[in-house]
Amino acid sequence: MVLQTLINALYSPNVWQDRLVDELGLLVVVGGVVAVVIHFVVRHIRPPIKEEH
Amino acid sequence: MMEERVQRYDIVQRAYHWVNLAALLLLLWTGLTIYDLNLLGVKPLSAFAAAVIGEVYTPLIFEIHRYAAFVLLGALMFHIVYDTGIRGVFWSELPSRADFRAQNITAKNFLGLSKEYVKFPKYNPGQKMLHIGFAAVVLLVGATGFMLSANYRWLVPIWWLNIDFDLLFFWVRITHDLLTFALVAMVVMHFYFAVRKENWPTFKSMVAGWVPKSYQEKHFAAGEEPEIIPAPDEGD
Repeated sequence: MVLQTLINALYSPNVWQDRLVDELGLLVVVGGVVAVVIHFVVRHIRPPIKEEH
Repeated sequence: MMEERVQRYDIVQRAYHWVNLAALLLLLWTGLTIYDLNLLGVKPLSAFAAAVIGEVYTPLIFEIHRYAAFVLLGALMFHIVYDTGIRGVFWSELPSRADFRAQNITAKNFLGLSKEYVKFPKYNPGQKMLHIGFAAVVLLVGATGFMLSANYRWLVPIWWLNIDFDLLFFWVRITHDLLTFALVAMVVMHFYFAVRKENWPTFKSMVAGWVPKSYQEKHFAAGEEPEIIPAPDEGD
């Protein structure tokens, strides 16, 4: 009953129609790409210190 | 003189890795075609499928998606049995407290706050977390994939929850799709670290199975625990 009410509240066909998944999905993938770009830039500016040993 | 080598992956582990990649790429291609990926009004995958297969491409694309999913999940089961049951590897693949403590040093080193650094055993905590993430996402994408299929829905027995089918189908579909994007992001990160110059020998070991002993000693801990390497003295 509680579960059903909760799901009813969250259920909206418009979410699907509005391609929310596209937007969120793109955000997730862009997040991953941004993370590796940040890593790449930081490493490019300052190579790993262990190489100095 | 032949370079001394250290084995990193045996032939079975390497075969699993590349079968996994092949299955994932097939799933991604067919999945995004079924999803009808729309990039700013362009639908490249649907257009490609229509050009190669014909206007009625969906049944074949679905078949490929289904078989690739069985390959991926079958290989996953094999991987679990082989690496835990036969090779006896399990606990060392989970991040330990020592790993997390050492990871702070790695983070400080990365940000230029410390010249200490850490040599981890075979995998660092980031890799171990990614491995756990892959496991969770693949299992959830697999379960939701089965739930989306009329033929295999029975494999995920949740009928006792008594949830309206349409609602369930709606959220299962969204979960399946969103986790796919998460999987893509994880694969991007995995690929990036794999092909970085300093990791190149490790990447090659996923083909050849070994790394040079000198590389192993320079980049990895000798034992099972992370090795903290003190900062070099100033002026060295």
